[in-house]
Amino acid sequence: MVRLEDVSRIYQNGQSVVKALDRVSLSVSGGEFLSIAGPSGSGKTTMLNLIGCLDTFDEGELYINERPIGGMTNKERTAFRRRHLGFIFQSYNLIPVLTAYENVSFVLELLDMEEKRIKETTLHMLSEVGLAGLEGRRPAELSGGQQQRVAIARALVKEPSIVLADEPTANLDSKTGEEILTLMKTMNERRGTTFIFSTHDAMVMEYARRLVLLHDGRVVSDEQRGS
Amino acid sequence: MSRKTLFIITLLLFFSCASLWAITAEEIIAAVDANTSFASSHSSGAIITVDRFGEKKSTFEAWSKGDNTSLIEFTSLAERGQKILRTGSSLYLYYPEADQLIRLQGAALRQSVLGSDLSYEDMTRESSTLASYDATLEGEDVIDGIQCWIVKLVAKSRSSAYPIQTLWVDQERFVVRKGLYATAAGRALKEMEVIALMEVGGVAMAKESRIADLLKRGSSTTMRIESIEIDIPLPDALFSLENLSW
Amino acid sequence: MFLLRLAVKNLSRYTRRTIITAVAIAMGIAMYLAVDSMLLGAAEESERNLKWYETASLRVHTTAWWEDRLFLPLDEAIEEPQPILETIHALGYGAVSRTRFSAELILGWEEFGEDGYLPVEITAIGEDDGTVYRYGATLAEGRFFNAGEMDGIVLGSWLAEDIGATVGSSLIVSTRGKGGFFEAFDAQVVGLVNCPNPNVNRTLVMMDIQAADQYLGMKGAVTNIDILVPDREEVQSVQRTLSQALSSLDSSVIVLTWKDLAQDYLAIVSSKQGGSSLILFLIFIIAAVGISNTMLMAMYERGGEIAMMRAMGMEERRLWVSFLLEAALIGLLGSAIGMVLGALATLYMVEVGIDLSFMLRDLDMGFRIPSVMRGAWSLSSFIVAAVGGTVLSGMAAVIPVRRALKSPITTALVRL
Repeated sequence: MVRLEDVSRIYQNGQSVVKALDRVSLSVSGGEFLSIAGPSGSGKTTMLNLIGCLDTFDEGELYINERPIGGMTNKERTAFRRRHLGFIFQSYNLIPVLTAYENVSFVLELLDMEEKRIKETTLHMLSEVGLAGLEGRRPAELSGGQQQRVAIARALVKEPSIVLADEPTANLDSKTGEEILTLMKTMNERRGTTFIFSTHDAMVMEYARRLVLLHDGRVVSDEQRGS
Repeated sequence: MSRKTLFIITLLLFFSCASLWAITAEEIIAAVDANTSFASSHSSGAIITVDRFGEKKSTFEAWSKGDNTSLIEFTSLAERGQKILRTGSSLYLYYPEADQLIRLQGAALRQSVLGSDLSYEDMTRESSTLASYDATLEGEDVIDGIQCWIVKLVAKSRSSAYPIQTLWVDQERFVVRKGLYATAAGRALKEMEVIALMEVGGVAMAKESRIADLLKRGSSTTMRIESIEIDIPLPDALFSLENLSW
Repeated sequence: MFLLRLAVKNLSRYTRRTIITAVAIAMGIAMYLAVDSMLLGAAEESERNLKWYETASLRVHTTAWWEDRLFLPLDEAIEEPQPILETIHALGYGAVSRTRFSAELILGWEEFGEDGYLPVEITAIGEDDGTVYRYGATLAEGRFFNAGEMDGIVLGSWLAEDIGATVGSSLIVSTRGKGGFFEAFDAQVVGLVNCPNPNVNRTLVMMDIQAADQYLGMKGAVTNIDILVPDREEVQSVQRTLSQALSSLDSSVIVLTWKDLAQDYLAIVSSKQGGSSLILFLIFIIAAVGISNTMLMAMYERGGEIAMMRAMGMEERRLWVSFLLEAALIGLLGSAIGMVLGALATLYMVEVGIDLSFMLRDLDMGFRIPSVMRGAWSLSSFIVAAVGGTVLSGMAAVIPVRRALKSPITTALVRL
């Protein structure tokens, strides 16, 4: 599903050269619920950005669904993201002027889906994340947890093969955070979608079925856990 | 006696009788014209224009050759270097500041020269008065103690500026002492009087004359000849267009 | 559709900023419409007043006269006007012969308090002049001269005021007849006209054409034949028709349009149009600065959202459309407000107008309009303003949008 082969990402900041990822190799199979953990600056976000096809790497190769990403143009990567990848962000990143429904449905508009199917799919998705009845609310009228649910619905509605989440619970209290993680896990199990999320929160790591630990841009441990 | 001889005798008789008894208006005018035409001349003088805005004096130097070739160059400060060249029936103006040469024709000839009562066409007038006017002798008069004939000239066509002219001609020297210029209906427009005479090459001519515009009260133009030489050699090149811009 | 909805909703989040930008554009557009209306009104009225009082629609001159027109040369008059008049009448157009000549009005102190003279152009008209011109209604005092009246003249009211003439004043007219002879005759002011065309009021001297014919020795010749073309007909095409019809009759004449005759006026109009283009340009600047600033701030504030949408796989094309639409909508809003304000201004200009009598009397603006300057409606100007305001606004967003789309997604996401 996702395969990194000796991938390096080097940031050049004036004279100093920072290797954010240093020849990392990692293989993720379909349906995994994987957490990338590590202290800040360890390369978590860089790794998510690479897998999310938002950034480019300097060495090695990245395969998603057996397709090499390294040689893709910007346009191809955009199209690839649109079709195959879902994103959940730390601060939800909902569009404040759109309703919950619109925040979710616009992803399908980008896929040029027909109006009727957009409606069915979106409403179904929103009820699946527990937001039935709140479709018409704007982000400001929703709690943090509800907003992140909208974000999850937005990430999942197009049925991507992989959902990437960068610190999805960092802005939430622990109770709500757990609810969100539970929801993500439920979705992972129900839909078989691969989830890759970053965190530095031990509680969150508890939920992961596989935990990859990064330090200074290298994988220092990679363990399977029971749920 | 041949018929030709007879004709000549009759003619001689006729003229001698006429001169004995009375001179005709045509003869007077012909004599005046003859007195004012020279083979060549070189003169200098001034034009003084007076109107309601004040007095303006322009000085000039002029050359002429024959009846219809002349060159005037203004020497006064305001118009220094401006030239008017007449060759045949053409009139050219040269403005030194603009280095521009203008040919005047048609209605443009009726414009005034330097704001005076003289127009450009006055400078191109035919030298033979009798070609354009019919003359009649109206009588005699005394001007400044001088016995004068009064000759009335009536224009033959509408292309003469003044439909009627009345001239007072000095009976001794055949020089015009006074002139009155009028419309066809007889309204007097301008009056010319000779203020001073001078003798040049044995004939009298006006040294200073004044033209008053009778419609515009207080407006007049005085023309004064300061010096004149006549019948002197002048090169033809003096009157060429090329020469205008030296 | 989604993009349009997004653009509209995005606009609503910065109500104040949107309104300020839109109002700035609206002011510009309203100003353009007001000035345009004023210039158009002045142009329409000038054109009418030119045709009614100064140039008619078309005029026949001899080619030689036209070349020498600065001198109004009587020697280049139309010798046989009658057949030309008949030809034009036969084609169904009103036409009259006139003679224009330069002269001096000589004013005596007995009548005017001081001696003076004034170079003028005298227009000699016939009894039938009213079939082409409209002086009839402009008589302010006295009467018009009768046919054949040798000494009656009519003056423009401002000219009369300038020289101190009233009805009954006597003066002398001095001129040169056809051929060049001097002529002078006594004349009496019998009437004053107050005409909506200031140029006429400032300069007009009219007399009877039969009298002028005698004084000037015209023997039936006239300097011009003036023709009225009804408004519904195109002047240029009538000009062509008449030129053709007259060419076989008299090869020495040309037919000129009022535009040929009123070059001074056309020069003024085109320079004033330069002024209204300048206003358009200023609107462009307002739109460009206002919109690009507004959009720049919006882009900055919404950097995260934009990055999110890009992450979600939204194509650049759609992003472009979305933001240009947003900017264009501000322009559209501004244009709409501007058109309402502009319409109000135009309405005022059309119904009431601006009183310029304090300056028109002494200042020759070139326009042939009376003291009150009135506006006119122009649908095309409204369309130009609205489309222009909207499109320019959209274009002004190009730079901020390009800037936003150039920054890498990851940096924008980090800022979240």
